[in-house]
Amino acid sequence: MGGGPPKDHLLCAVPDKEPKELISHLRKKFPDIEIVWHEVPFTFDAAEIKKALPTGVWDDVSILFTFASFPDTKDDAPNLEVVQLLSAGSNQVQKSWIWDTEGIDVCTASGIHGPQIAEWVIFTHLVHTHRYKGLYENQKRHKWSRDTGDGGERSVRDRVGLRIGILGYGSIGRQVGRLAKAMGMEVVAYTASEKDTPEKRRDPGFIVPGTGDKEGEVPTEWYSGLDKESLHHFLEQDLDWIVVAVPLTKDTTHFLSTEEFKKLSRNGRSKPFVTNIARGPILDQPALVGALKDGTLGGAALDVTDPEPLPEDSELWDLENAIVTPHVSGSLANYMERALQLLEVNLERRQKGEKLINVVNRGRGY
Amino acid sequence: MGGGPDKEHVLITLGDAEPKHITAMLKQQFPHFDITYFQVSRDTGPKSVNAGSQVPDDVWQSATILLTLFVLPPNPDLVPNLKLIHLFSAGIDHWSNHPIVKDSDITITTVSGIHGPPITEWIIMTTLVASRRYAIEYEWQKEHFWGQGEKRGLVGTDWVGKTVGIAGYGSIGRQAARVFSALGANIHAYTASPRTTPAARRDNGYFVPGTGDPDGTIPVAWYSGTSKTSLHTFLSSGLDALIVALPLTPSTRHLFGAEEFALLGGAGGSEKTKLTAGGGAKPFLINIARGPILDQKALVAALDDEVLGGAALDVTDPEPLPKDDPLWNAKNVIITPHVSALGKEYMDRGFELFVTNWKRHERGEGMFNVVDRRRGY
Repeated sequence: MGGGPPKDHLLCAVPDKEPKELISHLRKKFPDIEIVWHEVPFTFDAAEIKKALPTGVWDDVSILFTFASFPDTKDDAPNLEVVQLLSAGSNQVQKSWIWDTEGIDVCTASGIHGPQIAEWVIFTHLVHTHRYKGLYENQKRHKWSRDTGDGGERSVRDRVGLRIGILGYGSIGRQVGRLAKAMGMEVVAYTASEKDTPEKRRDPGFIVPGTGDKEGEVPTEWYSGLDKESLHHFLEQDLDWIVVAVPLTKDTTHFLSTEEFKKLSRNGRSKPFVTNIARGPILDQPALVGALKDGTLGGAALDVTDPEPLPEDSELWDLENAIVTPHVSGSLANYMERALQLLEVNLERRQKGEKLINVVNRGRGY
Repeated sequence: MGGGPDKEHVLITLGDAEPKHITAMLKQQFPHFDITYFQVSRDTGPKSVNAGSQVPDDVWQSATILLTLFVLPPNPDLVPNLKLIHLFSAGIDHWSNHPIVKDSDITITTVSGIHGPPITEWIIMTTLVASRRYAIEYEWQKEHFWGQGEKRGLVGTDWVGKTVGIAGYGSIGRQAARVFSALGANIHAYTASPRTTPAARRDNGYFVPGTGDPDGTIPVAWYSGTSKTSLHTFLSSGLDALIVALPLTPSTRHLFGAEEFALLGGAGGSEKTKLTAGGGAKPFLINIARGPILDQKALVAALDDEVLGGAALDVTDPEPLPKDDPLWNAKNVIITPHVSALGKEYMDRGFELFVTNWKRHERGEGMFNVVDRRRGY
């Protein structure tokens, strides 16, 4: 069957060369979709991105696959109906006219980041608990010694039986939970809304095969709530380690500050570890620095900071018990392959007239 | 004969001061235990010759149970009453020539089974430190360098869909399988004898509850054998990483040499690796067992020639590794000084395992980790 104009026009505006095989697979699978690929610079700067795209590129676009390349106005893109982001967060589109337009679904790539981010969460924590920085420095000096200079080698212990609190039990949190459980830990989940039934505990989104926690069976305890009291109640559950994996919204800005770190430490009775892979502003950073310096917290691993790049003079860099990496945990050489797997799922659903996955709830902010 | 069990004279020879909570626990579990805690010199180690002479003869003479790490009675004649030696290590290779091992049949049990979690944590940590290029990020942190542009050069792949081969599917191998499987990787297990039935794949040994692979259901493929051919078949099965978790015995000495590294590196990794954009890393080797299982010179060559993508070694040949050993300078190598099993929970778990074992013994059941002197472990 032939003839007639394509039903959909998909524009991929991403900072990568067109992956010919993967796109040809999509073209074969969806003959009614016209697929155009434009490589744009790796930046959120709108002016730079605009320069990379030809005029009139938006005219027929009904589906947009992008990180941060958006049409300036509705008039430029009158047919736009779906924006499929390549990031888990949607903050970069929230100030655009697209956010305020009812007829446009904005979808995130939540679900494709779980495995690689969870790997980062686990290994940076183990670098701390196994004193790897000191061992690495000894290796550089060809020094066969367990002495890492601070007596820390006598305090190493494994994670069996310890309690990990996962703030935000989404796709990333679930993969962290899966790993923590495999390591013998007790997983305590925290969600915005209550998850008191099996249906509510199920993960409806995209899951990389062989990973995640689809049925929500990993946690032994569940807590919830966006108010301070609920958060504090969770923080008082004898947690040895807390992983921050919530989206950044007005409710979660500075979610954890001095008071929260104190509660986490059971008022000094323990030295918990904090990991942040979400967004820097979820933690009150000066409060975090203070808690790391005065021993309220045992250590922290941060892949996100406030702001980014982290200024050269930030105290975080030199804290012996802090690991800082430049927002790398979500990167993956085959990121595009996974993002396109997710796009494929949504193209299928659109074709069948079904609801898309990962559609952002604008009221919630994620 | 009436009354309870016979009095046991338990001798504990360790380098730390007496852990009172432990001796109290033992007394509570076994009221018929008469416990002597003998603190040996702190520098007693695996290389200590005649460490046993630190202990007076009359103390050896009355001992019926010995709990120890580095100290053995110098010869069997000194210990006519000794029924059991519980060793706080997994391997006994460094004692294969000791009179107690060679010339007596006093039952020896090891603490194999307690090492799974800490050693696996070390394996995961070093494997990911390598695959996620952490050393570079660590140096950047020291320089306060964010590397916004440069970080694009560090991007690699994750372990989803990759294949990890585990040589030696004991308690350490099984816990490594558990965690790599949670990362989304597929496991190929390699054992000495075939495991063709569910019963054969079950872990009948001791393992820390909540860990391991008790039913042996994690591996997607099983390989076995003690011949070169069977080893080579396993090594050619498309591995992205190989974990060496075997005991050191005369037949595993230099088991992995140039030919084996070439096979491992030449197989090209798993299907996933071959098909993934940017996923072409050469296989990664992990050794947490004993240095001499690898031909270390051949390993250095394999690393420098990039036959292998890298290696994480917690054990070397010899230990300590001399300052000028070429291994230190090999490409893409991580070396730590035999620390992977260490941790605050180690001794407590070792004692718990002894308690489990002695209770089984008193019930007439077999104990875990009884050394088979013929096998060497």
